[in-house]
Amino acid sequence: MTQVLEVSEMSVSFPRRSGLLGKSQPLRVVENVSFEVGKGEVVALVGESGSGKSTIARAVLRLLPIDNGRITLADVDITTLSQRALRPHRRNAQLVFQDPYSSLDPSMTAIEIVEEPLRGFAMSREERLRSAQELLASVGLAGVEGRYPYEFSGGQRQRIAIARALAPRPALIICDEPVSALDLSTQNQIISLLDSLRQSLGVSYLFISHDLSVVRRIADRVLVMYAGEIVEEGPTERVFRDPVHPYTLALLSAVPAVVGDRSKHAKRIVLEGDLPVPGAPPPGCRFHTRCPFAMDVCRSEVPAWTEFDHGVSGRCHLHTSGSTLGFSGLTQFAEDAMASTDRDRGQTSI
Amino acid sequence: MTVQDSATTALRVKELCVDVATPEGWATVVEDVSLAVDVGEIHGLVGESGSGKSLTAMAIMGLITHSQSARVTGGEVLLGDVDLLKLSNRDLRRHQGKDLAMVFQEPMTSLNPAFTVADQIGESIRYHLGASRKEARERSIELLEEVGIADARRRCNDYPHQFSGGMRQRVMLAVALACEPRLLIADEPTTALDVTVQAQMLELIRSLVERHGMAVIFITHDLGVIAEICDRTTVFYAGQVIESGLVGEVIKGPRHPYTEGLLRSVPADDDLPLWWIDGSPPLPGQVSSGCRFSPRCEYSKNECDTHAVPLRLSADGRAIRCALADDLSLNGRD
Ligand SMILES: Nc1ncnc2c1ncn2[C@@H]1O[C@H](COP(=O)(O)OP(=O)(O)OP(=O)(O)O)[C@@H](O)[C@H]1O
Ligand SMILES: Nc1ncnc2c1ncn2[C@@H]1O[C@H](COP(=O)(O)OP(=O)(O)OP(=O)(O)O)[C@@H](O)[C@H]1O
Ligand SMILES: [Mg+2]
Ligand SMILES: [Mg+2]
Repeated sequence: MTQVLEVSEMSVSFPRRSGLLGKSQPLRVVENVSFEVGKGEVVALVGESGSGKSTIARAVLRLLPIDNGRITLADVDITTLSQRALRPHRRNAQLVFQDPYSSLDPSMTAIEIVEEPLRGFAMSREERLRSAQELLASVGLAGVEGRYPYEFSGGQRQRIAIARALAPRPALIICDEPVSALDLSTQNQIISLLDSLRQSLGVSYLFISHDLSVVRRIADRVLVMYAGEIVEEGPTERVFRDPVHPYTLALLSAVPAVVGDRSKHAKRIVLEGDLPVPGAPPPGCRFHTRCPFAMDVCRSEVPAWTEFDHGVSGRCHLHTSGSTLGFSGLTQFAEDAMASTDRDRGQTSI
Repeated sequence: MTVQDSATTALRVKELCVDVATPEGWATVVEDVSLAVDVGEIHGLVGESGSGKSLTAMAIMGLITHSQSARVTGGEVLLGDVDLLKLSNRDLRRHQGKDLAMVFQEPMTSLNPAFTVADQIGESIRYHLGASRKEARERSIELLEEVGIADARRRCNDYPHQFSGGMRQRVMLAVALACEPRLLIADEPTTALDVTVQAQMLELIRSLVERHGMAVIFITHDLGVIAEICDRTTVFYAGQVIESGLVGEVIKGPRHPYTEGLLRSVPADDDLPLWWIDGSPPLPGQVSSGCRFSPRCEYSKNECDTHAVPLRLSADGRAIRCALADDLSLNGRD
């Protein structure tokens, strides 16, 4: 097994009533996404709020029905398994939620929370409790087994959630914004914990986050989503250094800095224009309504998925249709373009 | 500290105390917290998870007076001359939503799952501003557009569960801003948002501050956001204010070791290993009599553990709760 998770051409819709007749019309919020997570690999899923990240997480775990596509988890095609047949495979993928407050059962103690997912296993109660105790210790929470969730801080609660996710020895943990509710010091503690668990246990992560500085720290590869589609994919290093999609570039440019240093992407690209409407994407490239560099072709033709150098792929006409970019790449191109608009408007910042 | 002119002070919190129920009995988790927010000012609250930021906010909003597991045990919350803690429920409700409004940390627990988004935004517009159903609906759609919800006219008929995490947060912001409050308390309003949408929300808040002189208490763990939009900041640790001052000064020159630690946790160079403050904060009811940060503090001396440390105000408007502050030279970020 080299891939822990393989998702191919998966689409997901929500039913939605509309109009006076209340006719149900599906609303497609994830369109044809394909990606893989290798053994021991950390793959980050980033993208705008509402772009479909949590939907992908839930669909991959078969918590939501999918329209089409295939999901292979630890070499088993789980796409069409009945919920019953799915049960033994479920343990292979566990989910950690953003909110360490509402995701833990308030009426259970820490050790019960971690022990619970082991109940289906052929283990005695003593074995389960011992295992849960070891797991709590491995996330730095020894000696507090009998306490209830509200007695813990947010960071400690998130560690309990991680211990619980690890309990059934999954091959994959899907983390949906696991640290965004936490302060920075605690975030760093959790990230380094996740990283050491990957090294010691070989677990893989699909790591959903909107925080690029966190993603940069932990992910081997990154998938960038926009309006239900993956628009760019590649090794984190490369994508951060020289993104191929203007949306990725805009994301990178908007990170607020603690101090006035935005050196690498000195100028903030503010996205204007119409937001994509879920289920009714604009024609052509889905990003064209907000893209500062949109060309005519972008409004009519869907850009093809293209492989670039260094393992980066993406869909953007700037690179393919009569490329205006040359060898300088998108970052340089954007800087030049913005510099010239500034001159035109007689101002220095965007 | 200079006596601030009440005409420019939007909100003044004095020595607020909040207790919560623990298996061992009531424990104080917000202790003697004082804050002042001027008209047109954005005041950022930061601090470790569990340090009492949300409870402070809820107490200011008058939302924990009737809870079984938490109670306000002292202090004043002055909005103008009115002490909100002394108001009856009925009088309080006249202020809530209109004079002061809050964006809650957990949108799902504060949005009502049984009502459409338009109903929830429209409710306070109708209650406080006496708008008709139709006017309230139109205004709700406008507000949804302002917080960047695409296709707002259609989506306003959706229920909260049909929105993504970040969209719910933005709906909360729309509800809070519906009546253009004089004071907005925003509790982690952008944690679920990516940077581009976050920038848009910050811009919206800032524009209301500039246009209407709205005062804002902004709770966040993101020091980047503090640096970007706040004028002042107050740092919490284990239920106490441990440092307070102008944002630029606190970031450049922290004077409490915990603040230094938080700033040091901000990733600087990608090649440096991640850094964090070892250990965990004390649990409610298990605080020591001395400095609460001392067990995790690299500068700690014996005296730190034995004597309670008062919050000291310095001439330049800074407040610091550290017995060693005068002898330490701490590193900030610049
Ligand atoms: N149960 C549901 N019914 C109808 N629509 C839904 C439902 N859940 C999500 N959606 C819609 O699907 C789209 C994608 O939502 P999703 O939660 O996957 O976004 P996300 O990328 O996780 O966003 P965020 O970063 O804000 O959490 C959104 O437009 C959302 O409104
Ligand atoms: N209703 C409650 N009952 C009992 N304990 C509570 C209650 N609400 C909060 N607490 C406890 O009070 C302390 C302060 O909580 P608060 O929510 O104010 O922290 P916070 O600073 O907002 O943290 P975070 O950054 O994680 O949101 C925590 O230890 C928390 O567990
Ligand atoms: Mg989500
Ligand atoms: Mg809070």
